[in-house]
Amino acid sequence: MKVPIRIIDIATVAFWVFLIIFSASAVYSMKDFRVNLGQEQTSTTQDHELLFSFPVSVVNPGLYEIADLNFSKTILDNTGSRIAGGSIYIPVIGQGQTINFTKSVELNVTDLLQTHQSLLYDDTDLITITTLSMLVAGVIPVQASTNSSMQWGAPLYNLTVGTPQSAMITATQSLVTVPLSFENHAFFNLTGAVWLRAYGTNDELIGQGQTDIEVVQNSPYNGNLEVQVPSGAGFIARLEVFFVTDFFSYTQEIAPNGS
Amino acid sequence: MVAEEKRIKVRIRKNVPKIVKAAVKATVVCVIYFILIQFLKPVFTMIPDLQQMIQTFTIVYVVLMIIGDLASGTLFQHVFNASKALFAIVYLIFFLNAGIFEYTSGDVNLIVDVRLFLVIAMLLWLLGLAKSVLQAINYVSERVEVVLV
Repeated sequence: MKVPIRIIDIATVAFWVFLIIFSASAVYSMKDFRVNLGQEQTSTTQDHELLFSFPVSVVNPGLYEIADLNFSKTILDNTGSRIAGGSIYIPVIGQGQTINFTKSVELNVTDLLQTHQSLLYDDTDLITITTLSMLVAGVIPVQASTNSSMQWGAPLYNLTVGTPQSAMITATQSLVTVPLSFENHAFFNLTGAVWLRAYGTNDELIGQGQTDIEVVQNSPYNGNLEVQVPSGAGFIARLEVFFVTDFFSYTQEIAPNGS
Repeated sequence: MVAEEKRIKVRIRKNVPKIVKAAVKATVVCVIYFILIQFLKPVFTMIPDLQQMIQTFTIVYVVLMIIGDLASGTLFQHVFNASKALFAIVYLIFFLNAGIFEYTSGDVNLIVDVRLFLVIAMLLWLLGLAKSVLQAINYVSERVEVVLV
């Protein structure tokens, strides 16, 4: 009986020594581990999508390699629902190695504004969640996450559609003018056209006019939309302001009296 | 009277090595504890409860160890060794939050999963428990042999 007890004793001590040395060296190894998150950059793609770029630098000066590093970025709106996101996977970061990479998150503005129409005319703070998960020393799962905010500038901030004014220009034609103003607070220049469409009582299109717009970032737009309608067309039931830009399309209905 | 004095002397001579052994072991554990505390200071700033947890664990462990050593040569030594192993297992399960450490500071949330270490440590404690049980069986069987002889 004494021999098995002695063997258990020796094995236990050996395993304890190994476990303690390994744990202590793993903790010590992580002492100087650093993840530097750079300043996010915003640009646009050729497909007219917004591109958020997040530069990241991971420094591993420790004794063990970092495995299965997963860096993810999620953008949420102010109510907490997911707008966009993505992740990047790095299989191994060796000891003493530094890895720099940029995580890009593409944002389809058309899709976004269909589900989050308030982002068209309200400046708001979007929430970005950065999550980093990895295996330290190949066996210890570690996950770190942080929240930060990112300012969203509305492309049609303070959108104001004025009261339509009608004037006879010929015996058969009337000109309807609608004042339009907004400020472009978005990350991109607004280039496109605004259509003013007039509909009759049977919801038939009785006239439409197009105005080209080019509004650079952080600048206001003040202009008039015009549409010619036949004088004999009768009563204008409703007017429609239709924005067609590189990034989104948006329609707003107005009553002929401006309400 | 002389026989009584002799018996006391024998008892003291028998117990002094036990007391010295217990004191030396307790001192070694305390030294390891203080070295570990210094080493883990940066971790304690992140997880303040950890220091309290390690301190409580060390105190109870050292007390059980001293009692076990003082009771050496009796069945109680093995009982205290087994209870030491059981205490360590229960403490690890309940106070290490099942092996998942979560730390939040401002907007940063950190989760460290040490379940693998917890399982290995528990298996080692179980091995210690098994050893104590075997030692107790061995002790009882040896006593029976002595009585029979």
